[in-house]
Amino acid sequence: MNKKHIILMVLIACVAMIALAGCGSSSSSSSEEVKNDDQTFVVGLDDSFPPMGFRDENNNIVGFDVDLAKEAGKRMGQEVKFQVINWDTKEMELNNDKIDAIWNGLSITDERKKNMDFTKPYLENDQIIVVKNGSTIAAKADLAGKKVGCQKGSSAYTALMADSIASQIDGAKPTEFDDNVSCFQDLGSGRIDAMVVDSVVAKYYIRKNEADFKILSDNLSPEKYGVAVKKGNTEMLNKIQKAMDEMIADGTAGNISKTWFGEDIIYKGN
Amino acid sequence: MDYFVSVLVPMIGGLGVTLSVFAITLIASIPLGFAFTLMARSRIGVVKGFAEVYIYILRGTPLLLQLLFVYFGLPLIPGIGAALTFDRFPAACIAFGLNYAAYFAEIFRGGLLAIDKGQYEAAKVLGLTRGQTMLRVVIPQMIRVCLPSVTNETITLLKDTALVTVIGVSEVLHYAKAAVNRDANTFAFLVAAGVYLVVNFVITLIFKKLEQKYNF
Amino acid sequence: MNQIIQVSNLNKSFGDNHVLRDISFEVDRGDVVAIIGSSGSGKSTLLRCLIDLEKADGGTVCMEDKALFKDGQYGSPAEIRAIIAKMGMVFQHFNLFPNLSVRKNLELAPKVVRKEDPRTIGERCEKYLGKVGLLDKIDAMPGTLSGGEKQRVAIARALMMNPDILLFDEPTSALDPELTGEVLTVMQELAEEHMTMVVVTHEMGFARSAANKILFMDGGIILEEGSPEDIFVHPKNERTRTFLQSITRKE
Repeated sequence: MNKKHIILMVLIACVAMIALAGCGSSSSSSSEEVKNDDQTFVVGLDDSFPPMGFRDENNNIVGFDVDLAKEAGKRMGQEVKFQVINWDTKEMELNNDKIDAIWNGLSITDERKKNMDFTKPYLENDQIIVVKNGSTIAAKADLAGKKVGCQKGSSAYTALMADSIASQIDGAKPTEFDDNVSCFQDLGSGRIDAMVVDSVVAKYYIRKNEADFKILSDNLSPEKYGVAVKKGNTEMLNKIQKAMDEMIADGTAGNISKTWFGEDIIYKGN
Repeated sequence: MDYFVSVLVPMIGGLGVTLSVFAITLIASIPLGFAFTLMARSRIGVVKGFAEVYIYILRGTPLLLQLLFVYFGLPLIPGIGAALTFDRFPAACIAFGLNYAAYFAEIFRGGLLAIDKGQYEAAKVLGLTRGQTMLRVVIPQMIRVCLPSVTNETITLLKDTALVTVIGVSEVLHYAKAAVNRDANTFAFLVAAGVYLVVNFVITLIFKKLEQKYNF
Repeated sequence: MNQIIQVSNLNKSFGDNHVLRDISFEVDRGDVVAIIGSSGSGKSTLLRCLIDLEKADGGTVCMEDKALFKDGQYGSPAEIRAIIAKMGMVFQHFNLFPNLSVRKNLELAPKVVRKEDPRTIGERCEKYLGKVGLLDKIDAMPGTLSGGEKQRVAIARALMMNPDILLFDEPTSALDPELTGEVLTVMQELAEEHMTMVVVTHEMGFARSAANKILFMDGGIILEEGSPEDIFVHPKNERTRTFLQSITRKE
C-alpha cells in the first residue's frame, strides 16, 4: 500500500460522498431543500411554532404567518417556498442568503434590528408570564427566587433578561428549551414555576390543550411581530412591505386573522 | 390508532433522510478513515502530521459545530468560498463523512496495532506485495478486531443524524418535534424512540452476523 | 555452481548493540546447516538478514552469485524480491494466517504472486500436506490446530513456492516437548531429500543427525564451524565445550 493507493482511496471516498450527496439532494424534492433564486420567495420558518407556522395532521406547513406569506407572494408575483430552519441559526440563514425572509412570529427588538431589517409591524404581541392555576405567583415581582423557563433564542428570552427581575429569578437566568411545548410541559409538571412566552402562543396552547394555566396581567414587554430580511436588502423589504400594505388595506389580511384568531387583530399602526 | 399513524407517516419520510445520511456517511467515512489510518502510519513526516492533525481537529470539536461550519462557514472563505457552497443535505453528508472518518481512522489504527508483526513477515517471505498482504491477510484480521468498535460507532451515527436539523434538514426527530408542538403532547416522541429502536435492532442484527462470519 | 549462499563480513547493529560482527560463511547446494549458540548470540538476526527481514549494516550476501546486498548496499526492491523468491522461511511462532483455512494458507502465494493455474496449485497443496501428514486437516482453520500441526502446515506452505533453500528460525522452540518430534521428523525427511536448509535450533539431536555443517555462534561471531563430528565430539574452543555441556546437562 503506497502513496498512490492512499491518494486514490481518499479521492474515491470524496467522490462517493459528493456524488451520493448530490443524488440525495436532487431526489429530495419532497424533502426540505429549497433553491433560492429570483423566481422564488423563500421564507424561513421554524415549523414547531403554532399558530404562526407549524405542521398540521397531514404534515403540511400551515399557520397564520404561512397564510400571510402565501398571499404576499402572490402579490409580489413570486412563488413562495417555505424552508424549515433551526430557530437558533435564523440569523445565519438570512445573512448567508439561504432564505429571503423570516416570517414566523418574529418579534421586532432593538437587538435584532442591528442584524436585520424589519417591515412595519403587523401584529401586536406581548411577552407574558404563564403560571399554573393556583400558583403563588401573581405578579412579575413574585418571580424572585423562582425557576423560570423560555424558548432558546426567542424574544421571550431577551425580554426576560432585559427586565430587572432577571437577576432575581432562580439561577439569575431562565431554563432554556428547544421549543415552547417542552417548556409548557415542564410548567405543567412543576419542574419550572413560570414561563415567559409570546401571548399569541400561550393563548393557542392553553385553548388547544385546555391547559390549567393562567396568564398574568403583568407583561414583560409589549412587542410587535414583523417580517425580517437581510440587512441592507431594501429591494426585498420594499416588495414585501408593498404587498403587506395592499393586503391590509383591502382587508385580506384581516380575513386571514379572523380565520386564525376569530377576530381581526392586525396591527395597523406604525 | 389513527393518531399513531398520522404521527408516524411524516416520520417515515424523515426516516428516509435519516437513513440516507446514515448510509452515505458509512460508505464515505469507512474508506476515508482507513486512508487516514494508513497516512497516520506513514514514515513521511508531512503525511503523518497531516493525518494526525486532521484526526485531532475532527474528533476534538463537536459534530454540531462542524455541521454549522460546513454549511455556513465554508462559503465565507475568501477566494474559494464560492466553490465550497453546499446545499443542506450535501453539507450534512460532508460534515458527517469527514467527522466519522476521523473516528474510524483511530479504530482501524487500533485494529492494525493488534496484528502480530509475524503476519507481515510471513507474507513477505512468501512473496506477497504490501497491497496483497493488506488485502488478504491484514485487513480481514483487522476487521475482526475492529467490529465491536465499528458497531458502536454505527449505532452512535444513527442517533447523531438527529443533528442535521440544525442546518434545516428534516429527519425523524424533527417531524416528531413538529407533531409534539402542534398537538402539545409528547406521544410523537415515543413513536420516534420506537423508530430509532427498530432501526437499531436491524443494525445490531447485521453486525452480529458479521461478527459470526469473522469469528475464525 | 555449488554455492547457494555466500556471506562475507556481514555486520548488523541495533543501536549500540553490535549483534553481528563480520560474519562469513558459505552454504552449498544440498547442505543442511545448523546454527547453534546461546540466546543473544545473533543466530536469528543472521537468518533474518539473509531473507531481508532485517537490513544489514555492512558486508555482502550473495545468493547463487546474485547479490542481495554488496558492502551494505542493497539493490532495487524488485531485485531483492527476485532473490528472496527462491527462499522460504519457517518461523518460531508459525505465523499461519488465522483468517484462511489450511488449504487457503498454502494456495495463497502461488495464486496471487505467481498466478499459477488453480488445478496445479490444488494438486501441489494436497501433495505437500500429505507429505507432512496433514491431508485430513486441509479445510481446517489454523485456530483449531495444535502447535505441531501448525508448524507442519507452515513447512508445507513454505514448500508450495518451490524454494531452493529453506530457512528455519527455531522451529520447535515454541512447541510442547511431545510435539517437537513430529516437526523434526518432517525436517529430517526434507534433509534426506537434499533440500538445502539453514536451521537455527536448540535441538542438538536433530543437529547431529540431520546436519552436515554446524555453525556455533557466540557474541555475534561464528566461534567455531565444522561437521557434527568436529563440533560435538572434538570441539576446539573452550566456550563451545561449555555451551555443549550446558545443553547436554539439560537433555
